[in-house]
Amino acid sequence: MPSSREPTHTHSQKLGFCFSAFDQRISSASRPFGESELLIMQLTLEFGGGLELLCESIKIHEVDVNPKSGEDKLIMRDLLGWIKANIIKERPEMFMKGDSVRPGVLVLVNDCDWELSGNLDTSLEEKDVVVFISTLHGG
Amino acid sequence: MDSYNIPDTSDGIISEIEKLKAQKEALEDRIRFLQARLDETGPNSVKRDAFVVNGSCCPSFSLGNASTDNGLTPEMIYRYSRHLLLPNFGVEGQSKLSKSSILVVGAGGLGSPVALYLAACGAGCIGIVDSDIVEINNLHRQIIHKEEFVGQAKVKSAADACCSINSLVKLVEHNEALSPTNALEIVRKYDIVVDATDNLPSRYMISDCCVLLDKPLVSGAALGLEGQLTVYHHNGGPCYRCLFPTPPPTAACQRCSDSGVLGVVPGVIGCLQALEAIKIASAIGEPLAERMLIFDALSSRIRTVKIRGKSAQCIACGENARFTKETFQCFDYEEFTQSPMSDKARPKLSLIPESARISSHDYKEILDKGQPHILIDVRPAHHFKITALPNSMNIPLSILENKLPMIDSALKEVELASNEPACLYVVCRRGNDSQRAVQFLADNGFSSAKDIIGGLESWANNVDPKFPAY
Repeated sequence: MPSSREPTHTHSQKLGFCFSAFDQRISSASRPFGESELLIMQLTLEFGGGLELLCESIKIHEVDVNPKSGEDKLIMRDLLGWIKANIIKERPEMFMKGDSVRPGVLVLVNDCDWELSGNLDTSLEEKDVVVFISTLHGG
Repeated sequence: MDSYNIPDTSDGIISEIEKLKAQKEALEDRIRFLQARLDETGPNSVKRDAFVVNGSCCPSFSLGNASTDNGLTPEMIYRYSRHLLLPNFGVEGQSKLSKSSILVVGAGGLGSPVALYLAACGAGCIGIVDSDIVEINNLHRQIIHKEEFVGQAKVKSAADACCSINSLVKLVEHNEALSPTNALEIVRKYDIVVDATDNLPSRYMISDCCVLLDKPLVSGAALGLEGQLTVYHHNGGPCYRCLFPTPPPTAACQRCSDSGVLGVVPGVIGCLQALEAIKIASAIGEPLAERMLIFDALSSRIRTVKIRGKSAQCIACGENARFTKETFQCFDYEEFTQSPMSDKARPKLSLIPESARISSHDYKEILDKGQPHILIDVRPAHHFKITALPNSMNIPLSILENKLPMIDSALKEVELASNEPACLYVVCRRGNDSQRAVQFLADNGFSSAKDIIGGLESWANNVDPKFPAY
């Protein structure tokens, strides 16, 4: 899978802060040769509350994802599959259950609970920020 | 008895008398105020009026003639003057706060700043529930407790600290664990509940209880270097079950006693919980209902996100909710969440046969007799750095699979040196991971592997009391 580090200033422009130690840009492995660049969607994925432990303790991932062939949009259902295949490095059952996230994980699309935007059917747009937070119980 | 400091000059005595007279006046004012409240409500129902609960703040709250009788004594006006100077808070805010009663569940890392701030700022009545005793390894984050209270009840220690900050506040000690059998009775007496507990079943239980009794719930959590905060069942917002209808798998429930927590992180969340409780009690601002605050200490980021509203399907607060007080009292929260109602309860694993285990005493004998063996410590590397048995070899459980050749050659080396067959022992912190390791080793050709029952904890308790416990 092609994976290369981007200069951090591109992230700092986008997110308003710099977080180089945790940044990683991953390109979609399955991009068909010659497909238009316009179909590639740039997203920011964040993992917290312990979920980052499933992806090599990296909390923020700047990624390029392409919608499934024949589709012109990307929905959360597809993104979860993509994340499971490309980002999650261990214990995938700690991230997903069935075709959704496991109980106890909050999913936020642009700082808003995905229950308010259609759950698995939430459509994603370029530059969206998708956050996965495992709920904490300690004190 | 207290011994009085008697000034040695007559001027000193005169000024001391003046000071005492002022204090006496303030106390008399307070007695008059309390007497008036008693007369208003009758002797058997000195119940705090529900003037803010559910956010339906009651503007007709009888402050009487606010300019002359705002419910604040001269002593209170002086003490809370900086609050009264806030245009958005002022006399109304302080007066409501001083008549509110707030229950803090848990006097630990979160509960410490909650109780301290609520006491300092003049909440009327603060209840504290906890059944734990103060331990020395609590003090790095549970800042309400002092060394002199180690070994004593947390509620006693917490109440003492609150009293020494503000003797005007009424403190109620509930020296017991909140459970489905006592929760309704305890929570009923308060206007607002603060969840400062450290475990999942308690979170479901407190939320259900607050729904049943219609109390707003200020819920905070902290672990490692992250914290979360929200207000449940308030202003039509969701309850805990709306957000998490199904509990997470137990493997996803990390605990401070296993995963660690930076002391100031629950401190930050606890302060914010106190703030939300004060906002609800005094009916100011926008409480954090239908929103969640997420704190990441490492990146110094606080983000507030919008969360779903009340769920119509919620079994606790939904349209067809069938959760009654009776179901609540019989509900097994530990069974439901598959986790214990205490951060301290240790799951005792029994994975391998007794013949594949030895006690810490037995291992001591093996050491003393100089029997050829190797000892593998399967804890994570950062645990190994804290403390370890001499001559133990650190191979964390997560990478054990890749290190089998290394174990094999280490065994052969010992056998070559001693000309005897060498044994393989495995140790961890408490004796659970070591069993998993022995099972894995046995499946991969190391049939003689044995684990030390109870791990390093047992070593410290039964063999070497000087071995550092953590």
